[in-house]
Amino acid sequence: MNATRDGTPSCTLVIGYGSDLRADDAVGRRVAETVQARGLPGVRVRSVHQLTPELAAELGAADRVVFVDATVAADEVSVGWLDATPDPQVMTHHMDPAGLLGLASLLGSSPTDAALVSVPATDLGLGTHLSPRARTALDEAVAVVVDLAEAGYAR
Amino acid sequence: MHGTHVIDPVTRIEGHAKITLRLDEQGTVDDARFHVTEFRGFEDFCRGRPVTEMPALTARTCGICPVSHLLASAKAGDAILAVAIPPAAERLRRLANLGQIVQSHALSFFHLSAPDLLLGMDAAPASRNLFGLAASEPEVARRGIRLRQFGQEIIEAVSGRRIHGSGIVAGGVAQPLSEETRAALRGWVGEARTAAADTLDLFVGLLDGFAREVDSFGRFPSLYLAHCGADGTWEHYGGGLRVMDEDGNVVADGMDPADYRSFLGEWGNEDSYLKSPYWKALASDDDPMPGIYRVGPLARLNVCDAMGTPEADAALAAYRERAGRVASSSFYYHYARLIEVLGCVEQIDGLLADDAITDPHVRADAGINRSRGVGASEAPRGTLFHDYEVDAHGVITGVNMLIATGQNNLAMNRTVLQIAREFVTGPEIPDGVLNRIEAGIRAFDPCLSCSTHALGQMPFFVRVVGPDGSPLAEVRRD
Repeated sequence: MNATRDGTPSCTLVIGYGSDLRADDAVGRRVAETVQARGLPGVRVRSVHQLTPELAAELGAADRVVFVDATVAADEVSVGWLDATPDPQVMTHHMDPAGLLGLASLLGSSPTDAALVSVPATDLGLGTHLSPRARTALDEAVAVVVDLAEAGYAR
Repeated sequence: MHGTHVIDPVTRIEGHAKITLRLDEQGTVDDARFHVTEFRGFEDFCRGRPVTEMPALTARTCGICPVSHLLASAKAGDAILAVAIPPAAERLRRLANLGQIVQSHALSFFHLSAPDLLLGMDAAPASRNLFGLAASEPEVARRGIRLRQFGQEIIEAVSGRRIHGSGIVAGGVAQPLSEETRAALRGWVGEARTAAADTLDLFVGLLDGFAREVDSFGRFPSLYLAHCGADGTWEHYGGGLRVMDEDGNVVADGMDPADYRSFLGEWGNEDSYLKSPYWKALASDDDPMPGIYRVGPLARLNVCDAMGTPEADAALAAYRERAGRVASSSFYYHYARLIEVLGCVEQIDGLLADDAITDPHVRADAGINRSRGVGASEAPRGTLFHDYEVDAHGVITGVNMLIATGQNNLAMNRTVLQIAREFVTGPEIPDGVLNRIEAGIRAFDPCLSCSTHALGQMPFFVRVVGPDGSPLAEVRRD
């Protein structure tokens, strides 16, 4: 487990999100649930349908956060670094990661680092299955998330 | 100047709606209509499904109050199975509904309405939202987020998930509550109670600044309908239905929700997917408005004799000192909502303190014993009815859902008209006036996803038309 500068154990929050009923859209959740099953010390996991404002409170209790989401815009698992961006179009049902970080920041406590792991998705149709590409990418993404959680990270 | 204003979309409500304001020849508001433009059709596509699937299916009607649909649906299933559910199951259902009311009211107040109330009706729309609130009043925003989180933790503990859980079933609940989870939930109660009480104090301190809104935001005589205990205590899950008039007379009491068709009619209008239920004794489909009634927090506090918990009862007494025995202004929905949050937290505390809540016997089993079942409970926004008919195998052959927001539809229309007449003069609608019209609707916390069974979006569109219906102006806010 890593430690923060004041010596307290650090905490990484992993949030996988997406619809369970839209095939590959759920791959972020499957990644998060696989990480949770490993029981890594200092790692808390949330698997959620959408990002909602309540998660800002959980972000505030974490040192680092790793969002995991499906994407149709990339062919490979990728990591992007996030900055807090308050979004005036905040909805009650859903937010984006940067908006959620912005809300946590306004509330006075936000993680030091935030990353978005994007997992390739090819099938967003109705169903609870994953496409072959998403299944392969799931394993790759789990390895990336575990590395980020265990090793800590810097941009 | 004459014309019509159309407000479309209406923002910070759960669903998609628009408003039409018709001006007369003098340019004053002659009529106002609140249109709901979504459609989803749960009542149709649930046909053919097993009754045991209905709670989980109908929970998908809404992402804000899925527990309400779980409960009404499971109670309809109980009636079809003809079972009395185990006591621990009723305790857990009550716990889930209380958590649901807390989280939904917290969302309504802190996320949707507090920006109006704390930042001002005339504040710029760009900052009059949760972010603006977090920037200017971070402690208030944090409190709201934590209260909602508390409610969601309870829902997750009973129904399996924060949203669209499936743990409330015909015959009881799917899983007992563990001692570990019970202890974890009890750990939240102190903070939640303080947050509820502090928020109520904050709101009461603001009320004097909204005298004009109290007078003009849907202040009119109507009936009020809600569940009520046999002893007159505030209810949210059981008891019978009580109806009270504007003078505090009990019009009907102890009514069985299963008989709703005998006392409630449903009026449909071609310009909206939202049906308008009415009190049959005073109206008909030709003219439903005389049968106008309101449901939800305002109605529940009006019809009850007491809240049944110490802090909420003290708050109710102060509320009635200000608003009268029967509060008629829809602006007081906010006030009533916050008293309910306090009362719910007290009731949650009591339920969790009772060892019987972890009894492992939580489900009664039975076959199909009746061909029809009606389930009803108090959703955050008001009374909710699910009415199912099944064949001998328990396959659904008919569904009718009577949703709280629909029951407030006539009142929302009257509220828009009242606000428009108070604040709109001519075809131009300044932002502050637009905000007040939206806020008047928001006081009801309408959930259009539920009431039209339609997918939620939140835009706002206002059209102003002349006496002949020709458009004069439009305001759109996406």
